[in-house]
Amino acid sequence: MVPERGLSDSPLRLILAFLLIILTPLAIGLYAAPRLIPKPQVGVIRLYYEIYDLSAAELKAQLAYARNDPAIKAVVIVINSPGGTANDSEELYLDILNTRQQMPIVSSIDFMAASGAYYIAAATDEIYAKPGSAIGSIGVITSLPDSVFIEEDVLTTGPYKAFGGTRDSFSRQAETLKEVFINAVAVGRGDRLTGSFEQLTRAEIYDGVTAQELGLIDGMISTQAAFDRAAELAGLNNYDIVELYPLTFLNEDETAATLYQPPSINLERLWAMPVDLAPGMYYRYLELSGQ
Amino acid sequence: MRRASIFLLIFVLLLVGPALFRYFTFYQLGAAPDRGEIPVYDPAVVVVPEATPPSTAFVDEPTMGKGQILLDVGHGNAFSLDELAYFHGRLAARGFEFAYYEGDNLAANLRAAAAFVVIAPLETFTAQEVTAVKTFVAQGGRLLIVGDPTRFNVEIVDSFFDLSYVIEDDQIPLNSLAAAFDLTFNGDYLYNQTENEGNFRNILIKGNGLGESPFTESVSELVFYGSHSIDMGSSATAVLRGDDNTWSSATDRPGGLTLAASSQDGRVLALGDLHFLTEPYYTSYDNGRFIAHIANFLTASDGRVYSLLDFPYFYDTAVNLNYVGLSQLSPFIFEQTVALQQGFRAAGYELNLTAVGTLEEDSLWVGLYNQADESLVELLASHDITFTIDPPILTNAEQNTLEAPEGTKAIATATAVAEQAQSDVRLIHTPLGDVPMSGTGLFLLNQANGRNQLIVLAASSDGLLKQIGFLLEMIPFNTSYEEAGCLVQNNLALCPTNITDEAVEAELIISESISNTSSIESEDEEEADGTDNEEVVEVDLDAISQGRINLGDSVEAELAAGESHMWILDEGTAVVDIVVEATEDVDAILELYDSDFNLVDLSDSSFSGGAESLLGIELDPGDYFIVVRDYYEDGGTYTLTVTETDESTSNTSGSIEHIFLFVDDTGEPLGEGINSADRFLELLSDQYEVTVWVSSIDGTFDSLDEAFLNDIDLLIWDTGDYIAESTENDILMYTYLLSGGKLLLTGSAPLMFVGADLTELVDIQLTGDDLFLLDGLESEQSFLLDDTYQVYEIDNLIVNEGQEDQVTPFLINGPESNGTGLLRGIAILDPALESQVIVLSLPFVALPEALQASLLSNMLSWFEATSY
Repeated sequence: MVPERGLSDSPLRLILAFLLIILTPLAIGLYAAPRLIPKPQVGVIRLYYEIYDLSAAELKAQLAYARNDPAIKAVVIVINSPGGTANDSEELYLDILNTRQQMPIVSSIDFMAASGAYYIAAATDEIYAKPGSAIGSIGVITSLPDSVFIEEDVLTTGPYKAFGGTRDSFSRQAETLKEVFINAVAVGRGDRLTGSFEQLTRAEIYDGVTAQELGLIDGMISTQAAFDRAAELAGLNNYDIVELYPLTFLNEDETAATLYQPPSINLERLWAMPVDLAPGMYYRYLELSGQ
Repeated sequence: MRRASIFLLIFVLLLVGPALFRYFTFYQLGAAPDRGEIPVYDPAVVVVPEATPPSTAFVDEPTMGKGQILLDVGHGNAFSLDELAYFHGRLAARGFEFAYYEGDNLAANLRAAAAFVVIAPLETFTAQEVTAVKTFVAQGGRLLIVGDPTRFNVEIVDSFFDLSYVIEDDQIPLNSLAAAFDLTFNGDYLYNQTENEGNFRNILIKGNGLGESPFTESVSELVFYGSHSIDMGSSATAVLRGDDNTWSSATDRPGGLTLAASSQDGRVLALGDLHFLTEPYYTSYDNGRFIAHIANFLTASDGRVYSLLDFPYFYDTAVNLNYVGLSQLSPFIFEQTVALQQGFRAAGYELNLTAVGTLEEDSLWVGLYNQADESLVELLASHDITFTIDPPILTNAEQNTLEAPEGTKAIATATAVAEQAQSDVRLIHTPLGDVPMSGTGLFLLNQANGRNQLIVLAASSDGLLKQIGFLLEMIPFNTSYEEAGCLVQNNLALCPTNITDEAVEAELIISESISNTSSIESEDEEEADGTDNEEVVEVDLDAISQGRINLGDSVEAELAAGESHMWILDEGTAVVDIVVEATEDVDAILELYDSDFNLVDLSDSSFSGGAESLLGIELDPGDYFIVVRDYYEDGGTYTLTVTETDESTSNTSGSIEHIFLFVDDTGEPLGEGINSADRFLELLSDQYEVTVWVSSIDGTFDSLDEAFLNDIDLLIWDTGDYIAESTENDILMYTYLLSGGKLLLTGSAPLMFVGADLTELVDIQLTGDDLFLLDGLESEQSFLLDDTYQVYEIDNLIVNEGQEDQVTPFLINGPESNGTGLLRGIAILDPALESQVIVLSLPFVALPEALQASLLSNMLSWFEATSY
């Protein structure tokens, strides 16, 4: 007599069980895994040329993008800048400190991180450069107001309403901002800073080697190595490097962003004297002497 | 049950496995590197630099002096005068003003200066300029040289492809001058990051940084706002030094840096910074006091030692002008005096004409060798200068006292004159050697008791005029003794007059025209016997006598090149027309002189080939001399005609019809700024044609057409209570007088007396007994003025010896006024010019109203009655 085969022994049942127990969770797992654990990314922000209201806004937008994108686990700011307005530099300094609450940020200096650009770099976790990079110029540059006067048909309610202050008060303000600058560097660099106050406020431009001796940078490595260091600080083994500019402003997908080619540096523009600089306080390197 | 658990486990593993796989693939196992704590940044902890402390209370207490500070603006100097406003103010408070050197003849410009200030030049000084400054400093002149690292040269580089610039901040053109005084400005800027005044480049100087010197007296702390450092040689000393934390940008090393230094026994001061002199930086710390010390240094009374070369700037005070041995003033003297006064005024001095020179005052003595009086000879002798004039040269007055043999009109032949001249000895004996008076001008500066007297002597009136012209050119630095070819030593200069065969004249010609002295050969020459008894009559006309010409005669003559002709006219009382018609090649000049060789009239109105005429000339009995010259001295043919006429065209006819009232109200008022125009118009307009010209509205007097003056019968020059200012006005007015004009000069500070002292006038008193001026008035009657008026103190200088009969005083200061009895109103007749002048040295309107009408009427009567 042939024993009667139960339902549990039927091929159909086995197939159904396989589907239920093996394929279904696997399919669900495979589907959900990239969404739950996206491949981490190191975002790249490029600070090229001067710091002013527009360039500062672009950087801030990219930092915000990094903070809001869960895949971005670290940021590297590639710097080629002589600095710029004091206010925009300070704004970026504070925004970077804020972003550091979420992820490590590393500065990678190519040709130049002078004055306000270094001010920004000082807010990052670590700063890397090349031996030939131009680093430093810690100080303020401003123009003093002309002699004050009054006009017959213009009425103000204070003696300096139309001018902002005396030449002497502008001088004092510049000195105050110098103190702000060096204090920001000291806060950002902490114990790593070895140069004295008098030495650093000479506002010299240093090469990478000297800058490292003074504790202004953490080492001299390539930009790729800086990406790796940022990833390391973020605890990443395998990651993608994405340019944040196209993601933030060009609405491109990550693949396209990965393939994005940043503009090359125009050295002449980088070192050029500014044109029509508006009155104000600047953390900017200006090569006044020579041509 | 167990199978179910297994299935469930597999289910879960397969469900989360991919995610775990991804995680462990992407992320490191174990903890990430420690990033440390995110720093917290608080800008509020920053220490704000201290504000500049209030400046030390300092009140400048300057000592008044007088002088010029020469400021270099001729080397592309990188500063503006506005920046020096405070510094200039400190100098002005000491009575010193800036003069500006613009790059032409520094040695000459330094003559006037007590100190020379050079600030941030961007061009180098030439070797000649450096030598001039060294000489200046050696004479006690003060030198301030100021560098500044913010004042650099920018060189524009215009290449084929590009236009760029290079800032030459390491080139210090100032060193081309500073190096001559053992000082070198380094091409650096100083900085101090440890202790500064608000900025690394603002250097605080205190304590040991303040060297012992007059500049740092009572100074406790200074600040320089960007300074060069200064290297010093052995003869220089540091005035201000930086501390050990002061660095130089050139060496990037600290310590031992000098910001200010002096050399040449304190006569040179070098400063590395300009800004501390400027607003607002002079208010910081003790900067104001330091600047006051610098001002004292530049204006020190014991500084500059002046010499003859520095004319006229060796004078300290107002200068008296004295014509040596001259007893009578004249329009010629007026012209020279006015020219000298203008020149002196341009140099900042008042020049007052005086009758007698004194060693107690700064003075200028001018005259002829032959007229040097006893006191001058004595003074010259004290400088080892003596004269030999053998035989003596007699003046006209001296000659007149000699008894000439009756009937001999004293004529010499040209040969006799030449022989006489050869035997004459006219020498100046000086420490430099003996030199002939002829062709030589002498300048001697006598300095004693803090006073300076410049003596200027020449052989002839022409020579003296040239020397005075030379002095006038010296004032604006247009020439120098060296350029004039003078031999100069120890405040004595002997200068060529450049007059060929210059005669040594007996006395200064006081008529309008000056010419070389010559002797007249008259027609009487043929009657002379040629013996030594012949008397030489020297006539101040450079012309060859052609004999006599009578009324109705017309003579043709040939002028040789460089020659002038003289004709003698003696026709008694007559009115004549004198006409010269010349050929095309002659630009004739026609002159008429009276018997005393005073110019009566002159005509030079046409060009070559034209006629010159003197019409309606009224002749008195006596000799007249007609002189015909060629302006270009080329010579040629002319025809001279003298005819009698009934019509006199002289504008000095007695009647007055047209009065020109010139109101000079452009000077500085002494009181409320009044003039007498309205009162004059009220009193005169009914009877006379009155033209009013107000200088502040219509322009200055010299803007008038000279020909216009020929149409007026009386010029009233009213300066009210304004101080008259000598300008070209004077020349035109004197031209008017020279043509025999009538002038009523009234005002508190009238022309001719510019520079006199002021006095207060409260009353006046009539004086004298002139029939016209005091008609209906009572001599010695006093009148109280309605107010107290500031007026010039007119002393008796205008009434010189020998001139008394030409001057009629009619008004003097009253008994209640200062200087009671001093002249206040005089009437002057000049017979040489046939001009009439009344000087009423107070505003006419200040006279009591009752007196105004009667006195004005009397004055007009006087003009008409005494008219020539």
